[in-house]
Amino acid sequence: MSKISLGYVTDTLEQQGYIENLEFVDADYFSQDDSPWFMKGLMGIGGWIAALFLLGSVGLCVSTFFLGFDESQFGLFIAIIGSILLAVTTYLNTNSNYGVFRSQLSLSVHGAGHLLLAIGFAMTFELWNSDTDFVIILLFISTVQIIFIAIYKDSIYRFLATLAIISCLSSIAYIYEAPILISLLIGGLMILAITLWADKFPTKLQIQHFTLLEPIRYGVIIGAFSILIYEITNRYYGFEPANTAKITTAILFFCLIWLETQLFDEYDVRLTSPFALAIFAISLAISIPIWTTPSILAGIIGILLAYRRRNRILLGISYLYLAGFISYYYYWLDVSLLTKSIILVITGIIFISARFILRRIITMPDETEGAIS
Amino acid sequence: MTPQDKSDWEEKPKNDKKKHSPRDWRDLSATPQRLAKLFQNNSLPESAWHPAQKIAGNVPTSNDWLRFADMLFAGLGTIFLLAGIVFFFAFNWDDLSKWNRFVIVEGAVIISTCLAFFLNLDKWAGRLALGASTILLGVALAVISQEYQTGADSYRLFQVWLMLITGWVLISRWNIMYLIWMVLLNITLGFYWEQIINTDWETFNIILLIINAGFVFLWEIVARFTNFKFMKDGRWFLYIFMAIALSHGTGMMSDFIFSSSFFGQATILAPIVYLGLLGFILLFYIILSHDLLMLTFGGFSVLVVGVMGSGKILWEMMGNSSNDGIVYFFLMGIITVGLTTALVTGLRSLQQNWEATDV
Repeated sequence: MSKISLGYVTDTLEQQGYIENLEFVDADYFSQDDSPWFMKGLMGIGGWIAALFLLGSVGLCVSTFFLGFDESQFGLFIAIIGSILLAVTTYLNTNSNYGVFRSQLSLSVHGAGHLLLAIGFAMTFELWNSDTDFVIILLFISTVQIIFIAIYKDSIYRFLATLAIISCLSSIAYIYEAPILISLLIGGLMILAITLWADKFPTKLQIQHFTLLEPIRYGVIIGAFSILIYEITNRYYGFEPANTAKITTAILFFCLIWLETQLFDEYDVRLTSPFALAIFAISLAISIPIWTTPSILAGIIGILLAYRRRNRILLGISYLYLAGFISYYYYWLDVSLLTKSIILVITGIIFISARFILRRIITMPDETEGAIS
Repeated sequence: MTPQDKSDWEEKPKNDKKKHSPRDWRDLSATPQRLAKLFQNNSLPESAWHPAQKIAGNVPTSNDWLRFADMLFAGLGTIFLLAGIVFFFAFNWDDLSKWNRFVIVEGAVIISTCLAFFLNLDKWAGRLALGASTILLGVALAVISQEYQTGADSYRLFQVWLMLITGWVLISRWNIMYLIWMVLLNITLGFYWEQIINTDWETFNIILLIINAGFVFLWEIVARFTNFKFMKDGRWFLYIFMAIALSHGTGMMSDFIFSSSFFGQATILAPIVYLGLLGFILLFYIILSHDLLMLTFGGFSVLVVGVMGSGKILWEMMGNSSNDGIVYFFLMGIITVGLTTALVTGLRSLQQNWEATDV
């Protein structure tokens, strides 16, 4: 969290001539539920438990009433029930200012609405006989999620819906047994993640749709990380018909270079300067030996994006992700334990030398400043 | 580095010219979310968005990036180097003689202990060295017990480890050391009960509940009546042990309610101890000090026990028809809503009272 106050920011903007005589007319705009996170957590958990009981009651009611109906009639009915739940929760969500308890209650009912709609759609049209049927269901789910991301104003829902869309798209790639699509999807997600996290989206949209974009940001990068886990770990067990790790590594390498060029541009570092060229060379030097494990590059991109926005959550996730896949890479390295130990020691020496060189050429600022707070 | 970078960090919000009440919007921290609201609501120019992020410190300066790279290289370098050394010994372990193994692990204990002594326990380096000695001592005991296999129960290893580090823990004035000590105590007791007693699991749960909660309460009392700064500042790890105590209490209550034996066959002692724990939580964190998180932990446990208890009672009252099932789920939903609302209302009113009186 920032230690700087809003008052300080507006005063400084005034001094720098960006704004004039800011009179904040609606101070209540910032008033929000000031309960601490753990009380919100208690309310959220209570809301979910209550919703599960209430949905259980509704479910029993529906199944008792429609016992004996054929599948497509039953499917149509639950699709209608799902649509009603979605409509009601969306209406309430849009037209009233919810507390955490009610918003979680509403979210769980909304989630049940999506589930019923998807199952009802599949049952009504009997979409379970071929791969194409499954692809149609997945595309239907993705479309519904895209619509509701725009209209259902709940950060948790938007985050989960983004993950759901990514899962649907990756499932389509697996259904068609086309791992190249997985590589392209990971690349696309990483480009989107860089655009969203490094503020490359148009400024006007960033400001206007801040609350919409925030959960999508998390969803996109977590989704990319998750698909990579699946891609990398399954490769060793022969589940994938073709090994596309090289392609994924190449795509992520270009993503990393693009991100670096954006950062250099932001900090007025020339792309042809020795510093920039050294960073590009280091990126290439890292990418070549780890081509079997592109997740390492994804972890590095995650760390850079997290630090760029001073985001502790993403930084923690990216560190864990990187540590996990570095361990994974060394575990699967087809060399003896002795060779592994030598490689590790050399890698450690290279990092410590890099730090030494950095300290020799640049005067290091006070170490207590600049930490993510 | 640009002059702009420097000024962003040197000037602090304390320099605010205007004075406002603590609840004033100007005093709120400038998170990206609040800045976005400020821009949306006041139609501030787009051109000020990126400068505002920089002023608020939501975007690192070039200096911050250098510090970050410095820390990252140092951290990664140390981890890789240590991992390489560990792998090297792992590769050659079978070829080392018994005495060489002892020299390596015990030498590491001695070196890290000496480092802790010379680096001073007031500094992070000294504390980390003492922490490393604590862990390495366990490794040394494991190597000794591997070389001299006497068939002794494994709880003895943890017991000896626990006893040997007690002195270090007391002088460390570092809560991580207390955390390690308590974890070892829990493990020792767990193994002891499994390997020696292996019956009466309810008593085992009650002992663990009392030890973990007792540690938290003892810490609170000592912190209150002494001047140990580390005890007042580093309280975060107490929540871990309170969560452990409450999970044992909740588990026992679950066995008591459902007459199951997952946590041991529960007797009337279970609700007595559980209510006692809740009573102490209320006493400590409402009357003696104010801690909403501890109370919320207790509240969460009460919610779970309340839902389980009412679920069991209702289930026994209902018949087996589907209509009864519908009513059962509906009533349970209502009970959960009521219970959550009551707990949250109570916690909120405490929060508001404290905010009014603690200023």
